[in-house]
Amino acid sequence: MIDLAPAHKIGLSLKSPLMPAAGFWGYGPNRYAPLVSAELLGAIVTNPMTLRPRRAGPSAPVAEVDGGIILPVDLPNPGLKKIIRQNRKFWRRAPIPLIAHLPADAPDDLARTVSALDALAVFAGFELGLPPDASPADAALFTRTLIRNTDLPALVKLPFPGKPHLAEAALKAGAVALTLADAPPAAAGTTAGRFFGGGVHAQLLPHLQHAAETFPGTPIIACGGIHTPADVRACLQAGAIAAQLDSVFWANPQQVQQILRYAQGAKSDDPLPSP
Amino acid sequence: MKPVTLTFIEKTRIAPAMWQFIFVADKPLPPFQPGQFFLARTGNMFSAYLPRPLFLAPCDEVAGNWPVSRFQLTLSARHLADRGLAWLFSCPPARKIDAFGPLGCGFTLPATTKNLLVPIDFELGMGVFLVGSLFTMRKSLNVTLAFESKNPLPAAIVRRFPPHVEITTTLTTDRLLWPDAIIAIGGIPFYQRLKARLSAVRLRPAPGLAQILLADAPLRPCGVGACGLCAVPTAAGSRLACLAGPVFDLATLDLEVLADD
Repeated sequence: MIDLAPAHKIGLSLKSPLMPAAGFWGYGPNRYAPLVSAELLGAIVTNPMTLRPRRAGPSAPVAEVDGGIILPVDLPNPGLKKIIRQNRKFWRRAPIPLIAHLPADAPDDLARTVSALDALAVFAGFELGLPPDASPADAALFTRTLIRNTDLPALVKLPFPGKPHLAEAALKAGAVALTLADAPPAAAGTTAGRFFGGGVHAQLLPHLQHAAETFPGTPIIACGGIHTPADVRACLQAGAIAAQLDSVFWANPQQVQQILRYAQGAKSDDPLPSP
Repeated sequence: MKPVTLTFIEKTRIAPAMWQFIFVADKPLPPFQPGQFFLARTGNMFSAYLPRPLFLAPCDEVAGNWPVSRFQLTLSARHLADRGLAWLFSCPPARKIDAFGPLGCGFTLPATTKNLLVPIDFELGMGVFLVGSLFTMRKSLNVTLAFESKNPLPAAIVRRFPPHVEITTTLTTDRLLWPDAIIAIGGIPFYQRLKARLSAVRLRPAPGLAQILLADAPLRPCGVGACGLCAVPTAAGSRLACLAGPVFDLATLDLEVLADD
């Protein structure tokens, strides 16, 4: 068992350090069954939820480049009301903890979203996603807005590569754990968005290490291009306590199962399974 | 949905810019509907593309005799512009391809159907043999395949269809009034033209009359309904193409919004 919020009054215990990153699993039900066993995950981080519906922008092609894909990140979602209506039944009987991912929207909308989700009593924690252009004041404002409306642990997902000044502001405002990091900005042809793929992992590692050294005692969740058991091990060795899997779900869901099985009994010195 | 390993057997040119691919699955697959798709991993370890949706159909000689392990796929030259499918074009025989499926909802033909019209955009390629399994075994069904093509249809393709299937390259007003079911395969402009012509002769085509395959729909990145990025506008609100489709009722799909996208 690991605890993502050891200093929090409620805590956030997970039986596995692995979970899907926001945007890669959906809102609850396992769309990847039978390729991926949900019970091997430590938690489900939901897709982004906003108070109002958001549609993907027009002409939002996925650009494939070497090492990954570039995806316009419009945070499309059907809006909180519909998401709750469609998923409440599953959430109530979810076999593993649920973490609601909330983009840093307008503070009033964020407050209403948190209150509505908190009242359902189905989530184990919240993850706040900060936009790439967030300032320390924004990080503090949104984190405070989140924790004022719930007693549950608040995780904060930082923009790439995990800007320390934002982390500091979020932690001071009450965040209990940090997710490093959101996907880096990228562009190719007419597509501008964020880059997802195995290529992100190597860039992430030094920032993970730096964050672990800068904020000792703060649980850090690695996120970015983790595609193999070796990537998980490297993240844990760099100081992360847990890891979120992102583009591997899309590129190779069969591989996810292998990573999850490895993590079940993984210690950082264990030999790696052959690919 | 199940994992399946497809072995690429051969690629045959069936028209000047169209190829038929033959695959054998590692195990016989239970029935699935034409229009349902399999996501196939393409590329190698340094160029791992997103899985590509493959619209597989049973090979002619086994059509209707499920479970089936031998499948066909037709692609045209335009698919070479897609990195993943271009990789498929370059595969040597015996190459094994990891896939999973079937996914989504395909074409269904009510048992009461007597007259079936199948308009197909021939240049798209993938529609040519996709829906054959729906009618080759139902000899009592009156079927007309209406291929829209800039070039004459190759005789070899015409010969592949059973005698009870009428094949034409013109879609007259009579033909649009005749069917009690329509299944169409093409692009958005093709469907817009079809809808306009149907509306002109039938005033208001009944819901359920015409099913269309969004062959060019953005079924990726995930293809399983997890990412929510393939939402398409319908009369009943936004629906995910990979879950609720890629086959939709022509009457309920908002083609104008899709065309703008």
